[in-house]
Amino acid sequence: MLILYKLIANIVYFFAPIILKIRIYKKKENKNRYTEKLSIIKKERPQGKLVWFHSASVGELMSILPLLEKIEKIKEIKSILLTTNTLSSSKIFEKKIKSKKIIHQFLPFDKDIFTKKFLSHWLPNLAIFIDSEIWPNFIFNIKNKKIPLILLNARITNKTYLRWKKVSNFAKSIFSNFDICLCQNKETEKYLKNLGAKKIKNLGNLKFTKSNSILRNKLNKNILKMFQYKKIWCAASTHKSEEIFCGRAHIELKKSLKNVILIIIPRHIHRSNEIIKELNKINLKIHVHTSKSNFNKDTDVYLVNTFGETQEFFNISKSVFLGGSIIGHGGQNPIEPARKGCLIYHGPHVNNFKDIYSYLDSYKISKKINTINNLSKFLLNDLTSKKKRSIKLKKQINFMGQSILKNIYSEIKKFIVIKK
Amino acid sequence: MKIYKPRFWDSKKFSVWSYVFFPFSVIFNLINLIKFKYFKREKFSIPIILVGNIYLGGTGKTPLCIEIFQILKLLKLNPAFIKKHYRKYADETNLLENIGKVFSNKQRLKAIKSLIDNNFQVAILDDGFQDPSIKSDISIICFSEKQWIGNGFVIPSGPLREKLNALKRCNYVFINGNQNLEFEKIINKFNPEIKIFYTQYKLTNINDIINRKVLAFAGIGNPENFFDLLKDNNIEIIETLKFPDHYDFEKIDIINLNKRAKELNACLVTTEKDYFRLNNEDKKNIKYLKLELLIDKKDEFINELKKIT
Repeated sequence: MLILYKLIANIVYFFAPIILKIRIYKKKENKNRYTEKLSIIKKERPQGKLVWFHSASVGELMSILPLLEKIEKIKEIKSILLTTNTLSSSKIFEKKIKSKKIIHQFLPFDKDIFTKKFLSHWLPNLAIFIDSEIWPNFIFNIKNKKIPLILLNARITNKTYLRWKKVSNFAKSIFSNFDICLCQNKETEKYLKNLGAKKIKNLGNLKFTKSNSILRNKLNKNILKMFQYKKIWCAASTHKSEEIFCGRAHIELKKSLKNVILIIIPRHIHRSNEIIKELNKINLKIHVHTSKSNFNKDTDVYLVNTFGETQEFFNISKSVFLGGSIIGHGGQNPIEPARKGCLIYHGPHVNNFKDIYSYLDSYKISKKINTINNLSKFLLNDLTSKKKRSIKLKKQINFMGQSILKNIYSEIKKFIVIKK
Repeated sequence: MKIYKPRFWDSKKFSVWSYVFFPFSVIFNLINLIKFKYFKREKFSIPIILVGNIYLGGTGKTPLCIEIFQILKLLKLNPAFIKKHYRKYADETNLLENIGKVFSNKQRLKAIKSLIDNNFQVAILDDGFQDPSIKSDISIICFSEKQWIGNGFVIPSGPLREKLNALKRCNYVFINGNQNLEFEKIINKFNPEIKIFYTQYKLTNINDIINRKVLAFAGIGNPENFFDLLKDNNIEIIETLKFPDHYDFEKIDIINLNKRAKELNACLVTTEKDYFRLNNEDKKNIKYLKLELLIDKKDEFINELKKIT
């Protein structure tokens, strides 16, 4: 099986330079750094102990930020190598990570020669793969070099499990290489055991943890004043068609409630004009965040066309709809709005955050909605009730997040301190 | 005909089979066209509510008929069901008979006439949208959000009984599942007058199987929808088995199912429709799930029904 995999990898990645060129043309790759994916490395390895983290993309990267902040402070570690696959994750890296100790690289394709070259250049003292990043050639070569290997925040879904099960011997030869698998839920723990992982611990999901150093732009006083007497709900991380969905829910809501405003924060702000056009079509009046002027009395929708202020808008909204969940995108992390005490609504597709939602569901903080009518009924209920936001849950989530972070940190530290 | 639905019918990807069968679809469409053009539709003295499909089956038509029956009862009317008589599809008729009177005949026309003779006030037709002999007062087409229109082709290239043009002949569309604005756009493109309603299934006797491992099996139009419903309700399914629609379970099937359930230490769960197809002895050890159909904007729909009665 491994031979077959290597053969296929060799054939497929033989065409890698062409694939990359096409992707650069489509603006899906970094044109100055794409050679990193072919294991042509320009950066020098710093002296001293180096820990290597690999996460696929933005979501996984965000989930390990709090952990990275902690690990960065360990004195024995001189540098951290962080690899990802996608262009968007490299942009997030530049934005969120200021530490000079942390180096970003794109992960080379999983071809035998590439992985060997990569490993002998960086010579990591510890390798940590995140979520469901399983690259066989990397894993076998890491073990050949006797580098300890961790699968962090491991996640195996029912679908992937059934796929691995079909090649169970191959799966065993891969998963038995991890020195430890720290899973994000019980389901994964069970599946990993069946797939032949040796040491498994379920310490909780890193997505519950919170970063301290993320920069926040406070909303200015004028804006806060404008919203002061409004009944506010928010639709965040929305994708195409979800804005119309919320817009129509808002129209329903307006039938029975006055002085209500909807804040829309789309996932991709370059869609702002398109959103304005669509919402105008259903007769909603829109005010754009960057216009700086005050909105009118009859403004229906406040469109946030900037990055990085989402948290602040959660602060003033009682109820939040989280997008990426009506279209089949897998949802968005509901932990932040939950921390702010918002009530959360989502569409049916939230596979990426299943455990977090079932946790929040159990406290009646989050709810699945199926139709526009459904959503507007819940909103009407929330916005007319006198109930205050729950602070209790915020404390509970913070406490839980901290203990997850602490446990995972100490588990990883064991590998750093023992090995020299 | 008890066969599995071919997989390419619901595939969103390009399938060669769709094109291989396409000439037959053209012929099928032509037959439909002639059928609707030259048949004379008969009008009746009582309101006729037709609940039908364009997609082949498994769209939640029968539960909707039952809901409509109950609404009409609340409106103090005396409704009854009309079901075309097929020897092989008795299971659906059985399900309706648990609720109210069913008039069944090889010709729907005759069934409706005997319904009127028996002094019922409203006829609810379970299926029959493609029957050119009846003029209904309300036509409802059911879809399931998951399958929607499959690959969009007509039989045998795809799962549709006729072209989507047929939406022109209908007043309401009921979609079982989540609201989907893209679908609404397509429906309204064919007929801007159509009102769209959504339905959801709710499991009513879920407590019997919660916290138990489940081996789920079903021989209905879209077994996946049944399995997904279980998963959505956090029921731990460890294995699923599909059978063709209206499948007649044989002794050996039941023995095998029980054997497998024992191996897995799981309990056997199926749909209400499948359960009532089993004979009494086979029913032992098998549980079924009762579904309730929740209609979104039910008040609005009741008002629509009031208009014709």
